[in-house]
Order: sequence, then structure tokens, then C-alpha cells
Amino acid sequence: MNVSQRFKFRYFPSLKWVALAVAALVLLPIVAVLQQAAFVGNDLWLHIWQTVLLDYVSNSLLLMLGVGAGVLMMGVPAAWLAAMCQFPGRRWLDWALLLPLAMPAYIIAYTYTGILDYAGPVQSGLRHLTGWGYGDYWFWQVRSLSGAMAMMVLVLYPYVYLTARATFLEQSSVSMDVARSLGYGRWQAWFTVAVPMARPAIIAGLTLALMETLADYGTVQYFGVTTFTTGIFRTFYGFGDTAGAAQLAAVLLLFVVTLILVERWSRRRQTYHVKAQPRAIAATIVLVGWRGWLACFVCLIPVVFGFIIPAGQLLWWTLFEAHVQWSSFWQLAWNSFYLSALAAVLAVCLALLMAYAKRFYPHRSVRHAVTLAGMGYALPGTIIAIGVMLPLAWLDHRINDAFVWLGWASPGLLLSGTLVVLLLAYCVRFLAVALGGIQSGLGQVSPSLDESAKGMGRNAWDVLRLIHIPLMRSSVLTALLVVFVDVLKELPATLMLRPFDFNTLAVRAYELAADEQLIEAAPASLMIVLVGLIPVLILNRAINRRRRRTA
Amino acid sequence: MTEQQTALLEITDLAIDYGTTHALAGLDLSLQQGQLLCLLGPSGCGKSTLLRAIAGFQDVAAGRIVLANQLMSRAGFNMAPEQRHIGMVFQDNALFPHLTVRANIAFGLHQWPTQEAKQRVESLLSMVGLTGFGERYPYELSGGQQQRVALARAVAPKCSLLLLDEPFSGLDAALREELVPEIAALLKREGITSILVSHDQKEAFAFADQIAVMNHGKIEQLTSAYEIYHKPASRFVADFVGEGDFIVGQVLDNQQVSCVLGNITNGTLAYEAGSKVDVFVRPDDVLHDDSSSTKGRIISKRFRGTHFLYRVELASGEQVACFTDSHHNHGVGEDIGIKLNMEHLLAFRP
Repeated sequence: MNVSQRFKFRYFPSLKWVALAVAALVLLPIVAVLQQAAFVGNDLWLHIWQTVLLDYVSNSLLLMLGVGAGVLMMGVPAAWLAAMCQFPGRRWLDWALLLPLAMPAYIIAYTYTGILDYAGPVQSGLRHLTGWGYGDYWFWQVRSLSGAMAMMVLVLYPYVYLTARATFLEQSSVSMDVARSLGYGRWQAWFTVAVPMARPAIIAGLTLALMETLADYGTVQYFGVTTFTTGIFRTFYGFGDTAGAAQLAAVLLLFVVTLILVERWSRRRQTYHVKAQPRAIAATIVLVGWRGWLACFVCLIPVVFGFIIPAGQLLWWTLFEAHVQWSSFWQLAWNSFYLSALAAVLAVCLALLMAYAKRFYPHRSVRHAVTLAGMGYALPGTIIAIGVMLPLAWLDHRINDAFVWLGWASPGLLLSGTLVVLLLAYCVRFLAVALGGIQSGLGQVSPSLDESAKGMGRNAWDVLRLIHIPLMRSSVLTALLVVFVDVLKELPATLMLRPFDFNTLAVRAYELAADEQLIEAAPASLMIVLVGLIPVLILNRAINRRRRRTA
Repeated sequence: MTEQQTALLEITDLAIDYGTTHALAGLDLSLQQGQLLCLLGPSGCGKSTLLRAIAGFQDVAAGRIVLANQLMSRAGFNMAPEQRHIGMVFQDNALFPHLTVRANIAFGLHQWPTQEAKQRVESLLSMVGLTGFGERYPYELSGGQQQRVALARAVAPKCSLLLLDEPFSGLDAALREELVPEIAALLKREGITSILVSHDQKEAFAFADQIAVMNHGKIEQLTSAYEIYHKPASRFVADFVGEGDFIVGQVLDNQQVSCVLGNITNGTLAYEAGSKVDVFVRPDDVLHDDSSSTKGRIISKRFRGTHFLYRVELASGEQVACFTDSHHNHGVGEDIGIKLNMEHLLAFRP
């Protein structure tokens, strides 16, 4: 039929190839890292193995173990309480528990160091009260492995909290009712039904938190904990040893792939689950008296330590103690802003291309390409940095060779020495974020809408203009915003790839903290946290809307 | 129902409040061993609330629920659901997605000796016709099979009463037509006393010995399907169960009513002569008869294969529905002769 043929977007058969190309882009750093790691002398590998690898592996594993246990203990009880119970302050805590999402791990690490180290207010106050002097007492050293665990738990537990709470709400009370009608008591039902049913979601949240743990550079570097990311960074910059760094990156990749597989596996079980319609408003358990206050206390701890104390301290430092040079501060803010905005627009455009490619060419290759493009998020910034740096540097050299051969002046590092390499790295890492938002937005534009418009004699452009753009506007804006904030917070890739003399808020905070000028780092840190709050508020609104729809 | 027999379930003067609104008030209900009862009513009539109260998920504000001579609920007391030995099948079947069919059915047998539990599961699988499906997961079953597993799971611990909360509403019409009588027969055969909640009269007719029509938190009528349809006790029941229209009539004496369609004689009326009543006319009470002097104008018609359903406007401006067999094909706007052929006179105070 004439109309339907016209509708099949025959204008863009290349969309499919665009999708495949974008997926190749995400794959590029992995291939580059593996290629570099493979062509390296055995003696160097032996050297790494003998000297540092064991340290990196054990520290990374310990960190994952500690953070994993911590986020479970903090996230799951809070999620259950917020989803199923009624207690004082629940409505407020329900969303306040998301606030630490706005706090990058390295910033909370700097802040707590400032609070808890020898000169900080806690120890000073203690000495003032007791009259102790230096060396008279033992105090927890925050700059340690256990400190790094604590910092990451405080900002990463929301991943577990979010996924666990969602399933607890979704399970509704019916499953519990079934168990109770079959002779199970309340607690028995909770352990035999509610927890096992929530397990896949909890594991999914946990793997996300662990991916972030593996990707972290700022915290472990500042605390002097040697892990893969610090190792890669040091090998790459300190020793200028690309091959060694690539080898370490390859081992780290192994960890990441394991996590991805675990996450996929846990989600596979979940997709089979019959979507139970939460009918009756979940029979909330009303906690009164001391039980209620205990529940409130349990939920308050993560909020207070994960957000209120560090954010309050940053605010105090910024307002009363830091000597802000506003002109340079605004320069930093502007750099951060336009870099993040550029990356966001780029990533969202690529995501739109991919999402539409998948809609109009639901061919297997395109679907795989989209899945692959979604994997970039699991890659730590350090791996991506090396992975995009290597091929772009190679290209630059070829370009320079060509210029020399033509007898022209050398153009310098056109790609690897400019913002191009940084933008490419951001796209690889955050395409998944954009893609997630865009795809769920596009999923709400039912194909029957397209078809009914087509039935009314509208062409493809009309459909796009009159149906898709209005319906997609909010999810595109949200995706832009989320990528924007993620780029703003990103540290290791920015640190490794930024052009000479180019600084952002995150990099400046890192540099000042490295110089032990924690108070001076506060304004930049606070700015990052405040901007980071925006997507948290959006997320909270989306959750509430969903909840209202199901209630 | 013999009066000497003590009822299995005895509910007296039950009231349930949601905040300040009364979900149920002054409700009485009794059910004999082995009976299948259907609570039929529109949404919001309190039927699900009643079911949840019987199961123990809902506190009661007044009255009592007694099962097998044991007090289950009264104001201030609510025996925990897990101690009641009442099975329940839920609307969306609520099978545990992470457990196999066998594990789902065995879920309530956690206090049974292993060997006996195993045998029980096998016999239940064969009872619901799913032998060999034990190792499957719920998502691998069709909607009807899932519902049968849910039934097997609910009755597994040999409950004394089975509650079914609109279990068929998620199934398509064809499957429902097949599954409902099948499950009713199964429950009857096994002697499982059951209460079904439904808003669908066809389902109720296919399932139950007794139907309790509920409205606004009260039982309006509790009797057999036949009686509900042909002798509705209230205006609401008449209107809710089956199709029909009300037309104005005048009481002549204690046996006769006159209306625009003529005089209706068979019936006993409790209304005084001369008073106005609303006569309830079902489509099968109105016959098409070309020789009839009473005429009506066709407003709309619907072809239903074996017959036509006409909507006809009478001289008084009132409308009734009329079934004719499908050979009587008339056009909209045509006047046709109709006559009343009513077996039971149903008249209600306006």
C-alpha cells in the first residue's frame, strides 16, 4: 500500500548503519585496551604481577565486599520500612533517602576527611573537651580502606534502596496474603515470600553499586588505597606506560564483565515474573510507639550521614571559611557547564538515533547494537579514558605524518589533545543513561499511534512533528539533564583526558583536595552537589507519579 | 436448607468501617457444608471486603464471624489469617513467580511430613488435570492453567472453607465459560465449601448453588440462581441481574396490574389497589405478534444470531426490549405489534 510504504522511513535506510556504528564506538575502547594489552612483553606483565597486582586485586575485592555488605544493610531495611510500614516521618524520609545520590563519592570523602581528621572539628572538639593532646588517644583514621568503604556505602546504598523499594511496592500485599492464608505468620511470610521475590531486584541494585565501586578513582586515590583505578592512573601517567595500564585495565574489565553477567542473570529471572497488578493499597504495617521511632531512626541514619552532615559542612565552608575567587570560580563553572552540555546533547542525539533505529529496524543486529551501547555505563572512566586515548592518538599521528608528507606544518594533536577525546569518552560512558530514558519514553509512544496517524494520511515527518516530538519532549529533557549531571560529576576520565590547562569544577575540587586545601575545595564541591540534586528530584517525582497511578 | 443442620459459616450482624464510611453494615449470612455460594454485586458493594473479613485480612467493627463453631472475628478480636484454615484464590492468581508449580502447591504444606506432602501435591496435580506440569514455572502456563494451580495451592492444606476473589476476571470470555463450570464441578465433587466473589452474573449462575446479591454493603437477596432471576426481591436485584426495563403500572387488585401493554394477572401483590408501581419487563416477556393491537416503534435493533433484540418505544413514551427469532426482520422506525407474555409479575414501589 502506498501509505504504509511511505511510512516505513524509506528515506533513512542508513539509520541501521548509524546504530551499528554507534555500538562500534562503545566497543572501541574495549577493543583498544585488549589489543594494547595483548601485544605486550611478558616481562612487563611478570613485573606487574609480582609487584602490585595482588595488592590491587585484594584491595578491590575487599572494597567490593565491604561496600556490598554495607549497601545491603543500609538499603534493604530502609526500603522495606519505607515501602511497607507507616511510622513518623516516613513520607519525608521516603524521598530524603535518595539525596545521597547527589553526592559523588570523592566529594563526600573530602568532606569527611575535613570533618574527621586531626585538625577537623570533631577531633578538635574532643581534645578541647578532654584536654588530650596529640597521640593521647585513638581515633578512626578515615583515610583508610575502611574509610573508603564507609564513604562509598553512604553514597551508593540508594541504588539498592531504589530497586528494593520498587519491588517491595510492586509485590503488593497479595503475595503476603497468599502466604498467610496458607498458614504462615507475618514474619515467616516475609522471609519465605517477600525477600526471595525481591532478591533479583536487590542483586541488580547491588551490582550497580559495585560497578560504581570499581569505577571509583577519587576516593581511593585520596585515601591512599591502591586499587585498579589508581594503579591504571599511576601506570599511565606516573610511568607513561600505556601497555601496563592497558593490562591492568584488561584485568579490571574481567571484574566488570563478571558483574554485568551477574546483573543480566538476576534480571533474566525477573523478566519472567508475572506482572502482578498491585490492587489493594498495600496493607501498610503501622508502627507505633518506640517501634515507629526506631524505624524513623533506621531510615534517618543514611540521610544524616550520607547527605545532611556533608552537605551542611560544605555549605558552612563555602559561606564562612573559603576564600573564593569568583572570577576563576565562574570560569570553572562555565567550563563544566559547556562541556557537560555538549556531551549531553551529543549523547542524547546518539541515543535518539539508536532508539529510532531499533523502532524502525527491529532487526537482530540493531537490537544487539542497542544492548551493546547500553554497556558503556559499566566501564570505569579509567578504562574508557585509555581506550579512547589510544586510537585517537594513533589517528593523530597518522594525520601528522600525512601533513609532514605533504610538506605542511604539523597541526598538533587534533583529536587526542582537545575536547574531542573527552566528549567521545563521555559519550561512551553515558550513552546508556541517555538510551535508558529515551527508550522508555519511546516505549510509551505506542506504534498504533503511528499507524493511526498513517491511517489518516499523514506522512513520516508529520508523525514525528505532531506525535513524537510532543510526546517525547519530557523524556528527552530528562535524559539531557541526567547526562549533564553525570558528566559534571565525572572525575577520572576528565582528569586523564582534559586538554592542557583546562579545568572543571570536579577537577578543581580534586586538585585542591590533593593539596590538602579541603576548605577551598568546598565551593566547587557544593556546586556539583547542588546541580546533582536536580535529577534526584526528577527521579523522586517520577516515582511518585508511578505510585499514584498504581494506588 | 434444613434448619436443624448447623451452618459451617455463620455471620451475624457484621459491620465493617473504612474510616467514617460503612463498607458493610448489619450483614447476616450462613453457609452449609459443601455449598457453593457466590457474592454477586457491582464494584464497591462490599463483596470483596466481606471476603477479606472472612479470610481475616480485615478487622470488623461489629458482629461476628463463626466458622465451624469457632469464633473468627468480632469487634476487637481478629484471629490471624494463618490460623483460620481458610484457603483463598486471588484475583491475579498471585502464584509465586520464583517457585515451580509443585513448590507453589506445596507452599502451604510446610508443616506436613515430607512424604505425605509429596503425595498430596501429586493428587492435587491430577485433581486439577495438570499431572506432569509440576516442574514448570508459572510463566510457562496458560492463564487457565495458572488459575487451576492457584486453586490447587489454596485447597492443599485441606482448608475448611475456600474463598475465591474474582479469580476468573483476568481470563478471556471463552476460557471463562469453560473453566467456571469445570471448577464448580470439581469443588462440588471434592465437597469443598466455597465462596466466590464476582460481578458477572453469568459466572455466578455457572458456579453457585446460592447467590447472594449485594449492594451498598448489604445482602439484598440470598437464594438460588433461578429465584434470583425470576423472583428478584428488590428493584436493585431485578435491575442488576439480567436485562429488563421498568414501566409504570397501576394496581387493580391484589392479583392484577394494568399497564400500557395491557393487564397482567398472574402474581400476588402486596400493594393496595390504585397505587402506582413499576413493573419489571424482561426482553423475553415481550413477544412480537403482528396481530396484536398494541404497537411499538422500533428504535434500535441488534442482531444476535439466533434472534433479534429490538428496543421498542411504546405509546406512553416508555421503552422495552423485545426478543424475536431472527426471521422477524424489521427496520428501525417501523411499528410492530407486541404483546406481553409474563410468567411472574414483578412489580416494585417506584
